[in-house]
Amino acid sequence: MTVLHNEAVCELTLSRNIYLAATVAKFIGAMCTHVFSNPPLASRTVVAALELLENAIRYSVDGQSSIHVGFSRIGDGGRVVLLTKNRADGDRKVELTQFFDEMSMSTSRDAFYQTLLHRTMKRTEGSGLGLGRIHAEAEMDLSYQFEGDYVYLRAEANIPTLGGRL
Amino acid sequence: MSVDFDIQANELTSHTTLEAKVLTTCLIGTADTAVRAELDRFIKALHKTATEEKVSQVVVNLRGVDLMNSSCFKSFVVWLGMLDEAASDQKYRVRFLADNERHWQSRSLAVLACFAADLIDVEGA
Repeated sequence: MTVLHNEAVCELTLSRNIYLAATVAKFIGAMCTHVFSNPPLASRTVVAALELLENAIRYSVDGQSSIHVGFSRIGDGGRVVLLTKNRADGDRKVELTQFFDEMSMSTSRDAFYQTLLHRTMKRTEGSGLGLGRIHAEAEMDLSYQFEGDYVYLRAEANIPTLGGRL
Repeated sequence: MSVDFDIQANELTSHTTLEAKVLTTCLIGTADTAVRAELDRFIKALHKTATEEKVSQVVVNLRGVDLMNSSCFKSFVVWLGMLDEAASDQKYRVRFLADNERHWQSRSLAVLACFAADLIDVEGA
């Protein structure tokens, strides 16, 4: 990967231990605080990182998962990007495709999340809230990509004012 | 009066008291996968005590919680959903205390306030 002079990136690989997710998310929060002075956005990024990481670890078929954290400058502001990668089975890929299809048809982030909240009450396994939380609470744009059995989940948001740290 | 169902995990603790028909709990730590089952158990016990003691209000102080994942958040959603569907004589109000400096709290609690508008109040500080 080529890293430009106006970018900062960090990549972490985790194996199996889901209990590390919160610690890594807080570390990403500390990185955000270093790169930009926007506590609400840093907090949103931490929430997104936690949900992405827990998803990646939980659904990884070989126990391996990774997260890429990137910051880039765009004019006076910038962009923060979180990207997780893990190998997943076919059921998970179907579930993700259905989730993104439904999300793309929703008229608002909040309304879609409220639908997920009502649905979670009937779920016996998992919450089904993680990605919706990134979309609605963290207000980050979500996308996905499959490459073979690899699943890439990406969350990103604009940084209104970046300051001089990149 | 203290209760006997508090959470005492490394990651998350609770301290709960019952005074004058108000059940107050203060949570401190990180609410993640490590404590999801404990938090589930705790919230069920909190609800059971609230209905048995016919409290008017349950106060949940989240100010000491630095991060919460969606699995733990689900525990609160299920609780409030169940309370919403309860008979009127089994209902009580829930007041959440949030730390305005922990920005995720105001976002998450705004979502809960929308989910169960007639049941909860949110107080920032």
